[in-house]
This record gives sequence, structure tokens and C-alpha cells, in this order.
Amino acid sequence: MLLTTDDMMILSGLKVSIRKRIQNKPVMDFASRDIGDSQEFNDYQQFTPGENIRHIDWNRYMRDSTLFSRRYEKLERPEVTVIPDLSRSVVVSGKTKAVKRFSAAICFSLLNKGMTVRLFSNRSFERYSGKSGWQRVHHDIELLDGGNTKMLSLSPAASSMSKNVVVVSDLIFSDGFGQFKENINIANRLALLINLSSSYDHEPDLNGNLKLLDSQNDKTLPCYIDSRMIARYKKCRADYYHQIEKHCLKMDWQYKDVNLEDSLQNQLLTIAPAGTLYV
Amino acid sequence: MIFNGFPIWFVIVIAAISSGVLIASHFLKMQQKSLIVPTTLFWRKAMESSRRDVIFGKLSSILTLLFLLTAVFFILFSMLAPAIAPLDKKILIIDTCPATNLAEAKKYARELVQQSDRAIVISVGQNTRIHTNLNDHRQSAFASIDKIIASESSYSNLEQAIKEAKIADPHAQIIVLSGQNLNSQERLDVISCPASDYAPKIIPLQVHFPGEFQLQAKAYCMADERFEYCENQNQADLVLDLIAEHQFTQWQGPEFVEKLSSMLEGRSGLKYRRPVQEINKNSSQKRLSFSLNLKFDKALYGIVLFLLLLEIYLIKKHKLV
Repeated sequence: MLLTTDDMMILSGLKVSIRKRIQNKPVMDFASRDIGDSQEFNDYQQFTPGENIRHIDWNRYMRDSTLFSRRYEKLERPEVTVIPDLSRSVVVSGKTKAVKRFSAAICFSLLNKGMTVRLFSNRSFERYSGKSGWQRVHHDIELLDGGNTKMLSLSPAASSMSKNVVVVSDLIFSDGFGQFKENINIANRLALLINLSSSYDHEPDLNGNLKLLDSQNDKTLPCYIDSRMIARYKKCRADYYHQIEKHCLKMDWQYKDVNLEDSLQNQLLTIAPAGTLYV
Repeated sequence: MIFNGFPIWFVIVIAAISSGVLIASHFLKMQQKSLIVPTTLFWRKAMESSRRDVIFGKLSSILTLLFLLTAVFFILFSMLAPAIAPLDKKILIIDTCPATNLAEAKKYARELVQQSDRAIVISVGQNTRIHTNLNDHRQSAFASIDKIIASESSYSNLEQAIKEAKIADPHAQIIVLSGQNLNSQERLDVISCPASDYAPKIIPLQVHFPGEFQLQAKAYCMADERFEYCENQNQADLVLDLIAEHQFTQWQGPEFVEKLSSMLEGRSGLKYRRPVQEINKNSSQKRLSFSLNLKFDKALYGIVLFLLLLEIYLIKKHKLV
């Protein structure tokens, strides 16, 4: 099991808010609602026997002496795409389980609030909703095969992503952040980028003469690592994530750096400081 | 062979150890451990920034090479200890009074011009006349020497000529070729003329001077750099007496120098000093000291130092230690 009962209890208390991008207006937050008919009026339609008589507009009947029933907009479940990054960089750094667990936590929270989840798995998107959705999504996340996918490989399926995207990743792109950025940017999506990092990422315990092999592009780099090199590495890493953060601010996206060694409660506090998760 | 006080075996051992360390480090460097990392992106950037920090990024290798070359140059420079000798500048004042043996004076002046880098020729009789300046060629100096004619006046104002010579170039050596029989006070007056780096040297060239042999002897003694040992006529005469007594027929060479030196020290505490030719020869040696003073063992010492520096540089560059 990716999530324990306690974890689910904690996640049940988490509120979820869907962010929407409205043309020429700042990004708005909409609270999630329970499933039910929408109250938004759409159109009139001539009453046919068998319809719910509660929908008959009696005022109009008084005016026109004809029975009309009101049509309401159908309430659609908000849909969020969750992308658990199980690329080689994640597998090599031993974050596979953490990514799966955190993705499951996000999916649970979304499904618990009646939303639909689209999960990116094996280069395609599966849709999950309803109470039964959790069992299926949990099962599928558990079965996800790490190391065979690349974040860039979601480009053919990128167009089928929903407007709101949650990415659980280490956000490492050896060949550049550009392609991934473009995929997410399609159709003005709103993204929540969750960077799962460990203390080893911040300060790797390496020294001496090493031949470093890049997990993503198989390139090698002969390198002598000492304390000065580690200091430079830390600076370059900080600069890299700072660039991503800046891009997120520019695009109205969210960037959250989550320490995977923390408890789930603390991790949730990082991504939802006021108890509300904005996706 | 001794290398700056160290025996050759010691130098060979040091060179072997340092080369051994370098070679061993090189092979150790070849044995790198492979490690898969999530990305080499940050490491690559870190290495690039490291290179940038060393010395101006891409120029670092060239600049480091230049630095090493400069270091080697300075090491060799300090070992060779070259003395950049100033130009040998002479001002020849030829006294044209009848007492001067003008033919000898001209001959002697030509010899001095030949040996110097730059020469001013001044003739002094009734009037003082500057024939050439420092920038003129030797040929013009020779021509002007040939043109000098004897004056009718029995007295020449040497002091005035020396003053003018000092105005012409205060750093040049002034040599007076005169036949005047100057007494001690007159000599002192001439020598102590102010404003010059050197005291003028007076070479007596009287008409009645006995023979070419002694003339040269006196000239050598008076033109000696250590003039203080032969500062008066008596001392110069003493040298001449010694030469006559022992009937030297050869003026140069180690045998002559050695004998005369030992005789002088035994007789009056005087030390024989090198004659003009030898002095000038040595000064030209100084100017060529870049190549001539290079000793083989010192060069090897420099090479060993260079190799050590190179080794430190390579170790630093490839971070072998």
C-alpha cells in the first residue's frame, strides 16, 4: 500500500481548490463542490410528458399558456492531470517510491473531493473518477514501471491533458527544460510542479576522481570532486531550480520543493500551507 | 659534476622521484570509478564555472603557459645574473700643444675610439673644438682625429675642455691625451673638475717620451680602471721600471700579468691592474653575459626547477592529488 490509513485520514482533511485561467483576468480559484445538478440556467425546452414537473417554468406558462421546462447546465467534474515522473533520474536517485506515494496522495485528495484524475502512465493518460477510482488509480500507480519513461515523452499525449496539471518529479532535464515547458504550456494550462528532493540532492556525498554517467542521456563526464566542486555544484543546482521557479511565477504556475525525507503531514504543509491545495 | 652544491646522484634521485610521482599520478588518474548520477548537468556547469574562476576561462591555459614561461625566464635570469652594462662612452680630449706627441695621441685616440661604443673627439689648443658627437659613426671620429693639427700655443686650457666635455655628456669617461708636463697640483685641478661620474684620466704623451714600448706601458697604467693605484707619475714610473728591469717583451697574456702582479705586491704594495685592452675586453664580455655566463650545471639546475614547476602545474590542473 502506498498510503496508510493514517495518511488517508490526513488527506481527507485537505481542501482542494481548482485554479482557472480566465481570459484577460488573473487566475481565479474555485472551491470544489459536491456532485449534483448545476444551478446554472441554460435554456427552455418544450415540456414532454415524463419529465420532472419541478423543472416546469410556471411563470412562462402564465404568460404563454405553454408548458416549458427549464434546462440547466450539466455539472462537470473538475479534471486534473497527475504526472508522476518515473524517469531514469528519479529511479537512479532512489525516489521511485516517494514519487509514487506522493502522486497517490494527490490522486486520493482529488478523488476524495469528487474530481476526475487523469494519470499519465506508460505514455498514455487514464481517467479515474468516483469512489472506485481510488482503488484503480492506486493499483495503476503501484504497477507503474520506473526508468522507462522520459518526461519529454509525454509530448504526443500532451494535447489530451486537462487544464490543470500536477507534476510530481525531480524536475531534472539533462537535455533542457524547454521541451517539457512547451508541453505543459499548451492550451494555457495551469501547473503545480512538485520537486521531490532529498538532502543527498542538496549535498551529494561524493569525492575523488569519478566518471559520472548521466542517467538520462548516457553521457559521461570525468570529474574530480572535492569540497570546492560540491560548493559549485550546489550553486549551479540552486540556480537551475531558481530558473524553474522564475518561469513558474511568470506562467502563474506553482513550484513547491518538497523534502521526501519529511513525513506526509509536513510535506502537505509545504504544498498546502493553509490546508488548501491549489491545483 | 656539482649542481649548485648538490652531487649529480642527488639531482638524479630528485628528478626520478618527481617524475615517478607524476607518472604514478597519471596512471592513478586513468583509473576512475564510474558512477551513475541523475544528471551531469550541474557537475558540468560546476566544472565550467571552476574553469572560469581559475584564470579568465578559455584563456586560462594560454595564460598559465605564459605564467610558466615567465617563471622559467626569471629563474634563468636570476641564475645567469646578467649585468646589463651601460654603453662604453668616451670623450677623448686631444691636447694639440707642441709638447704633445700628436702622432702618438692620434694613434692612441684611434685605438680608444675603436674599443668604445660611442666617442666624442675634442681637440684643445688655443681654442676648444668638439669634432664629433656621441651619435656619429666611428669612421667620422677617425676622420676627425686625422684632421686634428698641432696648435701654435704652448698652453692648452684643459680645464675648459673638460668642462665642455662634461656638458656634452656627464656620464661619459673623459680621457685626456696631453703632452703637457703637469705638476701634481695641476693634475689635481684637472681631475677634480666638477660634475662628472668619472674622474678624467690623463694620459701623458710627451714628445720626448722614450720609445713606444714605455709609452704603451704608461698609457696602460694610467688608463687603468683602478686608477688610484697609479694616480701619479711616480707610481706609473715604478711600473715602467719594473717592466724595464725584467725586460718583458709581451704586454698581455697570463704570464706577464702574473709576474708583474707578484713583483708589484712585493715591491710597494701596488697591484697590477689590467691594461686598457683587457678592461675593454671584459666590459664587452659583460654585455654578452646572457650567453657567455651560462654554465652547464646551472642550466641543468634551471631545467630541474622548470620540471618541478611543470609538475606542480600539471598536478594542480588535473587535480591529481
